[in-house]
Amino acid sequence: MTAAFERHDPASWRRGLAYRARSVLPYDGSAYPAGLPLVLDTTVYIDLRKVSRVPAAVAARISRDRVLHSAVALSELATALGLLDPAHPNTPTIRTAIEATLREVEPESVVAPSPDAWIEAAVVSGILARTQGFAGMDRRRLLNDAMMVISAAEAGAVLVSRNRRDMDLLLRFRPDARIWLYDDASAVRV
Amino acid sequence: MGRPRISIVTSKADPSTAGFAESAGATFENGHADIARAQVDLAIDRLKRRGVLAGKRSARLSVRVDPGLMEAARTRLGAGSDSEVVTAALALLGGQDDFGAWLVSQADTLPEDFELEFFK
Repeated sequence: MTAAFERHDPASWRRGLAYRARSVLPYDGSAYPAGLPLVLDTTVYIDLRKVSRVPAAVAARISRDRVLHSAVALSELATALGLLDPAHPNTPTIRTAIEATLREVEPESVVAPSPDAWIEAAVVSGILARTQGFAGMDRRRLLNDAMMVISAAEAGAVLVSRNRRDMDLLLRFRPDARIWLYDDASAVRV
Repeated sequence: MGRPRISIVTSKADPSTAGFAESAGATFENGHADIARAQVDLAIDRLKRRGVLAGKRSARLSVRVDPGLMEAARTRLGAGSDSEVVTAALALLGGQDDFGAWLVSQADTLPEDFELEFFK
C-alpha cells in the first residue's frame, strides 16, 4: 500500500485548482491509438440511450472497439434501480433499459479498482475535497470518478466521459490517464 | 489450386469444451496458440451463457474454403482437426463481445430528461 498512498503528497496541494480551458483538455479521441479498450463513464451508458447526445466519432469508436466496464460505473447505474419511484410513469421504461444494459455486460469485461486504486483515489479525492471545498455527495462523487480514472488506467484503457470538470481536476493528479472527453452533442448542435 | 472441400461436425457431446478444455486456466506457455484457444473458450462460454448452443454435434456442414485461410486459422490455433478449426472460427465470430455496438443501437430508449440522481 505504500506506493499507493505516497503517490500524491497532500502538502503540495494547498490552493484550489482553477478549471482549465477546453482547448487543453483531451477532447480529441484520435490521439489514442486504435485498438485500445474503452471504459465508459456512467453517463455514457445513459447518453447513448437518448437521441444524438454522444458525438458520432465517439459512438463509432464505442461501436468498433472493445468496451470494458468499470464496476464503479455499473454500480452507479444500479443505484437508479433502487432510487426510481415505482409510481412514476417513466419508471418501467427506465428500469427495463438499465436492467438490459447490466444484463448485456459480459462478466469478464468488468474492471474493478484494485486495492491500490482505492487507496490512491481516496487520497486524491480527499485532497480535492479540501482544496476545492467539496462536501457531502460531491466528495463521494469525486471518489467514484477517481476510482474510474485510476482503474481504467490500470486496465490500459481509455475512459470516455463528458464530465469535464471532475476529469479536469483528476488529470492534474494522473496526467498519464487516457481520458476522452466529449460534449453533449444535442447541446452543441443547437 | 482448388479449394479443399471439408465435411465437418460442429460439436461433440459438449461443444463448449470440444478440444479446448486443456486451455482453461492457461498459462500461455505456448504463446499465440494458448491465447487463441483461451479466446475461443471465452467465446464459447459467452455462447453458452446466451443459451444458443445445442450441446451436441448435430449440424453437418460441407463447405469450400481457401486452403490458405484454413491453414492460417489452424496455425493460429496451434493444431487441430478441421472440425476444431471451424468450430473455433465460428465461436470467435458468433461469440464476440459486441457490447459497444449493441449499446449504440439502443438510442432513443430512455426519456430525454432522465438523469442519474444519486449524487445530486
